Amino acid sequence: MKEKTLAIIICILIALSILGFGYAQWNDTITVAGTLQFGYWNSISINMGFVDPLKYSDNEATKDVGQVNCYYTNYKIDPETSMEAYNTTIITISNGYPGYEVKCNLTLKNIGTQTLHINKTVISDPTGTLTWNSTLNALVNVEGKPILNINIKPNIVCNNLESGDTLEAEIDIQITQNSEECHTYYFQIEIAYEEAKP
Amino acid sequence: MKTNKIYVTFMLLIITVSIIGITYAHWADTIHIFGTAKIAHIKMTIISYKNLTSCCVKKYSNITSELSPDGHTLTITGTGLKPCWFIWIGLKTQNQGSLPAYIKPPEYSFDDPNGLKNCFETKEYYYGPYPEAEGPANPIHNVWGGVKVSWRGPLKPDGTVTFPNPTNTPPFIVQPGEKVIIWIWIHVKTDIPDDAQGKMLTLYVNIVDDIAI
Repeated sequence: MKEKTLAIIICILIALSILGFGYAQWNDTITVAGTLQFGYWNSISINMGFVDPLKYSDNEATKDVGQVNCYYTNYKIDPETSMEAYNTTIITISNGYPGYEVKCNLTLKNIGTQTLHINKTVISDPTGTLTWNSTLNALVNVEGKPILNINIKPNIVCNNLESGDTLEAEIDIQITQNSEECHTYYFQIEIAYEEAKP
Repeated sequence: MKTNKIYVTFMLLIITVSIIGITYAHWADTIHIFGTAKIAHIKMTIISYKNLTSCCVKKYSNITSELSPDGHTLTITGTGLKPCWFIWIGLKTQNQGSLPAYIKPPEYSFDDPNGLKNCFETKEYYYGPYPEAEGPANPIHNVWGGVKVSWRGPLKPDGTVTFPNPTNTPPFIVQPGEKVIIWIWIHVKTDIPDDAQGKMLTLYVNIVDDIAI
C-alpha cells in the first residue's frame, strides 16, 4: 500500500516535470513573462522594459534629406507590479548617407519586483553581414571597415535599478563613408539583465 | 528500506529538475533594440540628348551618337575630321537619385589612335536646375524643338548661344528629380596635324556628379 502511494506520487511528479519541459519547448524566449505567471508561489518578477520619454533627432540642421523614426513595440505589463513597458525599440533610418547621424534617447525602467542589474549589451547584425568591433565601436564589413558607428551613452552596463527606477540612455548611430549606396544595413542591441545580487 | 531510499533520491532529482527551469527564467532576461539603416544614392542621368551641326559639316562628316544603358555616358562618333569641324551636343540630365547632387563639368575621353585629343576645344552652357514636371510653364518644355545651328542662333557655329534663359555655373546643386540642360560645343582647332585629317574619332562624354550634403 505504501509502495502504491509512492508510485502515484512519483507518477504525478513525473507528469508535472514533463509538463514543465513541454511548456518550455512550446514557448520560446519571448514568453518569459508567461512563465512568471506560474510563479505565484514566490510572487517575484524580473522584468525590465522601455518607457517614455522617447526622443530622436538627426544632425540635419537646415536640410531634410535623411529620415529617422524610433518607436517602442511589444507592450507588456508586469503581473506582480502592474507596471507597463515595451519589450522592443525599433530604429528606422531611411535615405541615409555618409555623415548622417541619428540620436535616440530612450528610457529603461525596472517594472518587476526585484532590483535588477544590467550585465551586458550586445550589438550585432542579425543578418550576419556586419560584425561588431568593440575597439572601433562600429559594425564593420568583411574588410573590417566601419559601416555604422554605434555608441550607447552613458554606458548602461553595471547599473542597478530598483523596482520602478528608470535609466535614460542615448544611442548614437553614424553612417560612415564606407557605407554602400542603395544598401540596407541591420543592427540589433541586446540589453541583458538579471536579478541584482545583494 | 533500500527501495524507499531509491524512491526518495529519485523524487528529489525530479523535483530539482522541475524547479531549475523556472528558477533560471526568474533570474535573467533581455530586451532588444532593432534597427535598420537604408542608404541613399546619387544618380545624375542623361534622360535624352540631341546632336547638331551645320549643313557644311554634315556634307563631309557622318556623326552618330549612342547613350549607354546606365545613362552616364554618351558616345559620339564622327568621320572625316578636319579643321573647323564642330558639333553641338544637348543633354537633358536628371537627378534620379535620392540625394541632392552637385553637377560638375562633364569629362571627355577619346578613343584616339590618331592623336587628335589635343586638337579639340569645348565650351559648355548649363541651364537649370528645372522642376521635374515638364509642363508648358517649365523652360525645358519641348527643349529640343526648334533648336538649330545657325549664325543667327540659338546655337552658333562659333560656340556661342543666344538662348534667353540664364546660364548656371557648375558645380551647383540639383535636388532629386530636378533636371538640367547642358549644351556642349566641341570644335576641332585649326592646327590639326595633316596626317590626322579625314580620320574618325570616338568621343565619350561622361556626366559627373557628387553628393551635395
